[in-house]
Amino acid sequence: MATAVAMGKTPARGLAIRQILLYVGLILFGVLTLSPFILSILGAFKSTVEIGAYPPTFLPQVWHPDNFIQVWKLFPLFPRWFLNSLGLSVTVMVLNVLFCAMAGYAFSRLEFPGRNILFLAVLATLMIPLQVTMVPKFIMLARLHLVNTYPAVILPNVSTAAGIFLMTQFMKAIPKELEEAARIDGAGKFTTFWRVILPLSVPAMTALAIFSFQGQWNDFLWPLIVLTSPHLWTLPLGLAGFSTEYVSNTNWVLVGSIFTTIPMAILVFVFQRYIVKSVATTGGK
Amino acid sequence: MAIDVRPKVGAQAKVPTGGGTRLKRPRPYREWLTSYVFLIPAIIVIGGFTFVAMGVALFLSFFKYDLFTLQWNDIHNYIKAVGNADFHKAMLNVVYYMLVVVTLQTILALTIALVLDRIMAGRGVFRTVYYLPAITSSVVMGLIFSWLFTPGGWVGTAVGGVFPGLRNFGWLLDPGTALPAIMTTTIWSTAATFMIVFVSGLQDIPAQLYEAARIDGAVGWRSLWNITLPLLRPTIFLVTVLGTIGTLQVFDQVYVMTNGGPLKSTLTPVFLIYTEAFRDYSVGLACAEAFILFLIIFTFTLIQRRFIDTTIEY
Repeated sequence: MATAVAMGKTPARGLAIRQILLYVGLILFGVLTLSPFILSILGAFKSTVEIGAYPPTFLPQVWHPDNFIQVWKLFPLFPRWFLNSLGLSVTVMVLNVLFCAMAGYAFSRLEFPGRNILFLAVLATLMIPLQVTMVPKFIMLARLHLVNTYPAVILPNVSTAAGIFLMTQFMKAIPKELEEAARIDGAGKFTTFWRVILPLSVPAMTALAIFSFQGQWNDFLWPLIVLTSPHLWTLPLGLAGFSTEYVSNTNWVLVGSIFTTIPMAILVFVFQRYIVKSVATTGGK
Repeated sequence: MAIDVRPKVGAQAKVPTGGGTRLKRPRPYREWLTSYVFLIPAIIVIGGFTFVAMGVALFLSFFKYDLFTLQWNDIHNYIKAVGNADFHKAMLNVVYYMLVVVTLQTILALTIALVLDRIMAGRGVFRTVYYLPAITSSVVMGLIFSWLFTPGGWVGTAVGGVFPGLRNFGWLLDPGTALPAIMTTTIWSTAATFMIVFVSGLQDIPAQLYEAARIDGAVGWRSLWNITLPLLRPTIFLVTVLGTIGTLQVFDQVYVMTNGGPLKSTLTPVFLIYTEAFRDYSVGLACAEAFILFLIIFTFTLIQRRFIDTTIEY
């Protein structure tokens, strides 16, 4: 009996110690992950003098919530950038999901000549990086007189290879019988797509929607190339311009950073479940 | 509507009746047409902004073009690109950047995923916290880290605790440390995304395998080495490929944190192409460099793809 108890006890204690070590490791990494955010939030409340002081202070000596108002006053375009970011992200998200779902339907459920070649062509574009196409894309849009307009940002992003791939794979798994049933009821291809396939593809569409939104919200290089007027800028562009203008006012730059990050953070917390799933299937692209 | 007359369609769905099938099936060319209608937006966007754009880039790479005048330049853009010291520097920088970032972020992501897989509770909380940097815009994170890396800033203070001489060191102002500082910023923000990929890869490994291995006496490190890692190979390769493609395109952090400096130590190909095309208006040269870069990335991806294809069979 005694040996049995001892045998049962030791592994249990070993297990507990191991669990504690694992948690300590995870918490340390969590602190490392969060500290830039925490320092930034505290920094956003400091005065311009204190933010540049050495050694840096952890908590602000005097709290300056007025920094948040100051930034909006100094940069009357800030609300505009916010709305630009929001509008562009929502538009790209809606169109990209719709167009990718349409293409996914054709690739997964319909028969037509050239299907495999077209699908391979779409997949091949995954290997073509932005730096190869950014210059000719700019020139093409310039020829269409679209540079420095919202469509210049929207158009190239409303059908993505990764999105089409995601939708095609997902729709392939929908049972054929459901479609048959719709056809027997007299539904055409468009009705079937709209009434049967789309409602069943909501999980994949949600994942794609989140990625499109996040990608557009954070995109910097492409808007930087095609948008020159400050009133058309998105938040990252405005923030980058803002930071070069106010190099020594890091506290204000941090306030702007917080304004830029919060909407995404809210979105992620609301849709956490879907994000984990979709990052796992697509690798976050 | 005649079809509705047939009773209990479900019961005999598997038995096709000749006449009914002929009546119901639309003539194929109508389905073809429908298919193309569904594909129109994708064809216009991907065809236009990728394939046509590639053609335009190839065309322009043989010309001198400053956005106004177009002048035949033979293969001189390519000759200039190959001999361009800035291009060499940018390529070397990005390869260095890629090797360090992909290696470290993959190891870090895998380690955290393995730890997360072994704890009893609270996985979701940690995952959310770790994922926060991944959703932060690269501009924001570039600005935050520029501030953290300033002389006498938080990084200096932290490192200065151990090496007092480094307290006022300008991490982004020294050619030796500017790129590593950008690497740190990137790893901090991307490791989490790949961690989630690994976590789901780990969940796909059947529990029976661990069970069987334990009966055979393989536990702890041996089970990690002999079961987990080999079965995770496809995921590891996916993470490596995505990491490679992503790191070769680094731009935002460079633009915000160093502007390519100091002494071109953080110059990257995308930054170089951007400045040549949109600041110096050497569009032809930029296109030639973009094509050379594309061929390099393409080769890289093909090599890595071979590895993925061989591992799918497990």
